[in-house]
Amino acid sequence: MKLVKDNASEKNVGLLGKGVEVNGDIIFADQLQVEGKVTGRMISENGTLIIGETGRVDAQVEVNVCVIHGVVNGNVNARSRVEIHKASRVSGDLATSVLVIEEGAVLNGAVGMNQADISLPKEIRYQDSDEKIKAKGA
Amino acid sequence: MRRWIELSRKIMSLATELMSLIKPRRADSNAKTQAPVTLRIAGYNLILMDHDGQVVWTNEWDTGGIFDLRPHHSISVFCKFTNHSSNEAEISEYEIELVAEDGLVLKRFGSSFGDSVIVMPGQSKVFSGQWRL
Repeated sequence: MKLVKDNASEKNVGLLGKGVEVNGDIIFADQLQVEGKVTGRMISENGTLIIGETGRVDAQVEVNVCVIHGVVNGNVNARSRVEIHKASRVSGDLATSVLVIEEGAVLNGAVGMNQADISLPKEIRYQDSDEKIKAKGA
Repeated sequence: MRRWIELSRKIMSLATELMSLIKPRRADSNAKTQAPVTLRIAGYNLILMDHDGQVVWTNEWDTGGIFDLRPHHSISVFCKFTNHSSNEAEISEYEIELVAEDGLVLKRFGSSFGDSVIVMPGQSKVFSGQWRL
């Protein structure tokens, strides 16, 4: 009996095929691949958006990971990572923590940071971190 | 006439042997030069250091899943540090480490400041680095 769920096999993967056009907001959970055209907004708190070579997104994107092979016109806000692959064209500002750009990709926009504020460091190599932070005038 | 035929056969067989010795070497050398260099990245660390090179603060993040960094790819990493202590944090140098799934550090890059950067209590600073494979 399996006690641990196999998340990979239960992942909800959606496909918006070539020739399909959507106007409006798209909210998804795990993963969505776009080979058609989307106009509006694309939102996923923890999901991955893959824009295929034939995909065109004229939308505001707010996701966890955004992998781009096609065309994007709009701002992309990806909490963890943005990948822009060759032959893709992006016009819009990017906000992310990790940006991967392949040679040949076109990016026309500003790149900034988007990373959740760190309330307290979970992994710290020094236990006495307060002592290591330099106190000036103390 | 026979001698000539035998001699030419011998020369041919020697040439074939020589070719068989040379070919595998060529194949090996090609395999080495064409070996793909791909880094499978699962996360990244930020390490902040003071002017003595002592680690002041460190943290790690995941990249939202494992991904491959291949030749002709460049990567930019943005890390945010917020000083939640009641003291000023003095930072002279920082390093960003790209790590594999098993925690192995694949690449390390960073920068140092001529004058230390002071992060006041409650304030944040973004440390970024770029690297190309």
